[in-house]
Amino acid sequence: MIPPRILIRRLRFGYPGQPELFHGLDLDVQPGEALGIIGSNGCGKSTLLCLLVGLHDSGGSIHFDDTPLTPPNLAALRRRVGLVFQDSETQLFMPTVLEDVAFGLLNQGLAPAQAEARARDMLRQIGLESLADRPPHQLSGGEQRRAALAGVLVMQPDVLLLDEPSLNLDPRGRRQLIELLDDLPRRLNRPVTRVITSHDLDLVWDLCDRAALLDGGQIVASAPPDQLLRDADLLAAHGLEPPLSLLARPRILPASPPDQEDRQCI
Amino acid sequence: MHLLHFPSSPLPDSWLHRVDPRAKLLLVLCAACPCLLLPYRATLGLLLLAAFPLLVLVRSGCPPRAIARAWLTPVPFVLFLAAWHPWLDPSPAWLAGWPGELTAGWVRFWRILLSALVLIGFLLALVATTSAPALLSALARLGAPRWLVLILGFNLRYLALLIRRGADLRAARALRAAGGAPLSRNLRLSAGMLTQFLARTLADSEQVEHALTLRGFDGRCPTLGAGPLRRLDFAVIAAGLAIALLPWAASWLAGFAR
Ligand SMILES: Nc1ncnc2c1ncn2[C@@H]1O[C@H](COP(=O)(O)OP(=O)(O)O)[C@@H](O)[C@H]1O
Ligand SMILES: [Mg+2]
Repeated sequence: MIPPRILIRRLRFGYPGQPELFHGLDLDVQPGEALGIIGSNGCGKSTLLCLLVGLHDSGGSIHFDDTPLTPPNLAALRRRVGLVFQDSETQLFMPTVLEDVAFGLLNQGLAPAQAEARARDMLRQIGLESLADRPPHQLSGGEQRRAALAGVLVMQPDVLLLDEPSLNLDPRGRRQLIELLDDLPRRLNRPVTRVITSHDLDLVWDLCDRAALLDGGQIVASAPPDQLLRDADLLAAHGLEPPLSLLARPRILPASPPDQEDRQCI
Repeated sequence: MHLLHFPSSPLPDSWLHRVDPRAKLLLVLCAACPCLLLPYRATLGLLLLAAFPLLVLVRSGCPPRAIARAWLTPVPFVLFLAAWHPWLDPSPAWLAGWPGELTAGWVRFWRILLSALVLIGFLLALVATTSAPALLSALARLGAPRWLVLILGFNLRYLALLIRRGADLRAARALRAAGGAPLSRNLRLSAGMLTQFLARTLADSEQVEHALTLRGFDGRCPTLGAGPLRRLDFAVIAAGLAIALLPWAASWLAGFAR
């Protein structure tokens, strides 16, 4: 299935009792693209992702192809759109990692044996096989993140929304995550749209086809990362700093193809 | 995660740990039957039952002192519940195996005390040798209502989150050393921390709810299947049935001897 094109038009939203956060935000996300949304702390990146899965009521419109994000379509759209929270700990709520990963599948009506097989397969792909029977709260931050990602990926979404996915990961875990996300369409053998919010500009540099800069409730710029992230003046004007390390090096993925072993284990 | 963890116990693994949680749950249910159903005059037969979990716990490597402590902790509460009865009902009664006369109130007293000891003992043996997740899924597979298992499970899960949040806040405070401050300031700090704690747990619970709905949760909670019961498990269930009948057998024999 081809992922839907996401059209956000004149999006307005504010938390109750707080000033409006988005005042008429427009954004398109193309099928299969990896879009990085960058912006300073508190500019509304996480909130934007929540709005994309209809967790809060908002003004304006959000369409997935021709389907508007409205209450009657919510359940169907949520089956196609997966969101991985910034705080993985609250996303894992079943007694064991395996059961947590199988949770969504069972809710979709899959038979327990099938759900377990698919959950185990996903855990193996993501390198958490050995932790399948552990309670989620005993995992480290990075392991929790991968478990949360497994629970969403196992449902085979066309659109994957990731909120600060590299937070709390060590360099190796971070590189494995980048490789996994970059490789995802090939692994699943179909295009997957990825929308990634991050203030980890390196991640966006390495992973995304396009970066969009969010500030003041608007998308103020949108361009390929090696254009946008090199524009030091633009970034500075919106509270971000281009990491010097990044400007001096090419994107890691094309430059150093990961060895086979690592690919297997995230 | 074990609900009850004996700190000095050897590696938490014994034959009892390996028994299927379903079998262990059934064993506890078996033990509960005589506690509820045994005729009052046969109450002392429960002593036979109380010996069983003790024996099992010691045999499976749990340290006796820790067992005793865990077992006896609830006893004051039980005594509080039971202690009224001798005053409430002074009519004469007969208790099998008891030397001499007794009042009905005292019979009831012994009944409550012994039932509690038996149930606590069996529950102890259960939770000390079974992880909480295993216990929950066993409950589900034995046909306990889904909502019950779900609520228990979430509470357990949420408890861990709460404890973590609480510990974080306390550690953050300790690291910035508010301890030496005057009492009034400490109280104010504690009140502030409590508000923080509540606000955070509220935010957490909202996130958990979001995570649930996004993954298609609609109030039902299907669970993964389990392997079939093995011979050891059936042996444990059979033992449970036999044990449950023991007090009746004993009281029958006592009555026969009389
Ligand atoms: N549940 C909430 N209730 C009220 N305000 C919130 C809530 N969540 C976030 N905010 C506020 O909304 C703004 C945007 O938050 P967020 O989307 O988390 O930003 P970002 O992810 O870009 O750091 C912040 O000012 C934050 O304080
Ligand atoms: Mg955020």
